[in-house]
Amino acid sequence: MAKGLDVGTMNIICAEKGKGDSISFAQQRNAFLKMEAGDLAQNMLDSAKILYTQKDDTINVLGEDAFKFSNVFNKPIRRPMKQGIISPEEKESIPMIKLIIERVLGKPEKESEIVYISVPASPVDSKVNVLYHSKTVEALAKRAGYQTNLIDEGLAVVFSELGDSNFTGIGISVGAGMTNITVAYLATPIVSFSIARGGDWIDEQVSSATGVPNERVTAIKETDFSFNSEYEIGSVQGALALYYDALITYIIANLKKKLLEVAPPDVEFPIAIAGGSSRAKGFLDVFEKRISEANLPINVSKVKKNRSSTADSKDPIYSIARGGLIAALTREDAEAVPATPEEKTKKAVTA
Amino acid sequence: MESKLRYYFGSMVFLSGLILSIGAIAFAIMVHLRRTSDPSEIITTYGLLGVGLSFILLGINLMISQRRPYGIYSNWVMIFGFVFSILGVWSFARTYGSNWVYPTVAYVSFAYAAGICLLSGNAFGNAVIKLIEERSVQLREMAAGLYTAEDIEREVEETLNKSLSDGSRFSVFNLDIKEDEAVFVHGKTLKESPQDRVEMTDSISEVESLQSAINGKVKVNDYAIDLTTKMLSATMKQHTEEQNKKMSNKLKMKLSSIRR
Repeated sequence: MAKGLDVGTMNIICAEKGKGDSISFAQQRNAFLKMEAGDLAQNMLDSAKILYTQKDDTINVLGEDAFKFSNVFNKPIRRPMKQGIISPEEKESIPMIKLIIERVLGKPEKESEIVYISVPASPVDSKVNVLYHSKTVEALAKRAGYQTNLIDEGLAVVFSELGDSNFTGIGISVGAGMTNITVAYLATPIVSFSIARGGDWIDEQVSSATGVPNERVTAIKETDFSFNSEYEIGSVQGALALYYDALITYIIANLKKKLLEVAPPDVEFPIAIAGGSSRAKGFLDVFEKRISEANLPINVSKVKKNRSSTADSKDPIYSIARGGLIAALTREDAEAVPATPEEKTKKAVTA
Repeated sequence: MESKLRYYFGSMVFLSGLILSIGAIAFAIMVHLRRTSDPSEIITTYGLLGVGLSFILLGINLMISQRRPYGIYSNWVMIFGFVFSILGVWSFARTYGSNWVYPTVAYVSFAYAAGICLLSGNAFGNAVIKLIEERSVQLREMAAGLYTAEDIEREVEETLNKSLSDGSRFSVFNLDIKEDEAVFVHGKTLKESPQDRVEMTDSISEVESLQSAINGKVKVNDYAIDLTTKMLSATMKQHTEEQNKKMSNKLKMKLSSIRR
């Protein structure tokens, strides 16, 4: 069974076909927290069914629980990825990512099971090279026994969200570490790039502006923030709104710059936005407003707004994994198609 | 001086020289100029013509002037040439009639001729250097055009795409993790409990649409793209037919060789 894997700075999500007409998502936070080991701590973690690994006298709590513990113990969380790629500052980043990937992917049901892994495009505003990250993540999935293929995050959004416009449009993934953008025409990328700013950038700016710890800002952003509300001057939410607006403007300005370098076809381009950092209430309305003011050199038909519920497979956080799954299933179908008479003749001749 | 400004001045001086020269010829025709004409008419005609020619050459020099290192010498030659030629004309105007005798005639003629030679020689030299440089730029562009940076990037990308395939011998990972795995003891939940999964209703109809889009079965409302697709499709069909013909010929040959 084919799978789609979204390796994000904040979350690693795997999508696969469920029973009947359904998709099954497996999600883990791409984070861990170091704690001191001890019998009591281990018993507590085991009874609370918390994921962890132990190395000497240190325990690494993995995934969502690491965030919860971080808030409780007021300890900084460790992130294996930074700005969309494997963090060079984190010594244990690769073993941790490997654990999480193996956990969400599971074992392949058959030999050479196809998996499409989302990778970021080259950033336009940073010297960061995504090649090492892409190949390492691919190697990790390959090691788990999968036939791996890489897909641009932005293109995965196009596959997931823009099927009704023949996969023509702009796919934007506003993730934690990066924002990936792909302009596609009939499922073919015309422009693909990333920006080294995302949700983490907002958190850092708000944290340094207000003095509230980064983890606390992230928690407020995810649970207690919406664009349509009025906030007091000096509040974290007010600063969040400000930096969100700055990020949106920055994304659109870079998109405009890139579009001016190419000659896209004269058709309508809808925009689909995905990624965890686009889940804030009212984000799409602000984005639509800024897009209408930007005077882009293409004809933008609409900003897709049909996703908001977390109980929906089209929740922006699942969009990239879903896009990867669509690509993987398409590939699987294409490989399953019996050989044409021409191919049979070819094989006969070569035999 | 900025090159645009030089072009502006150069063209202006050139046109002024042309107007002066035409004016001189027109004046000569008007006054029926001949050897026995009044000296003032001769001075006016040849003065205007001499200044006009100097201006024309100065204009050309300004327009095709060189940048450093040649530029600095070229500019001096241009200035000396112009000064000599104007000095020649001025001396002619001063001496013609009253003192137009040897050796003054020789000095004046020499000054003017030297000025004109310097100006025209400088213009010719600059034009030759410009031609050589343009040709070398063209050759450089041609060489760059054959194998661009994009081509190199594409080649690197192709190599790296194969870097994890079985066929590749270089730039591969051995698929082991550098960090020793054995030192990590997995917790009870990590070992025993399965990963939580969220199941959501979704028919994933996009798979079929993506298949169609990839195979080019989608109708596009763009005349140019439709036309190009049709032409491409026709060419591919023709190519396949030719391939088939070749294959059937090969088959026939194989069969006949077996029969023999």
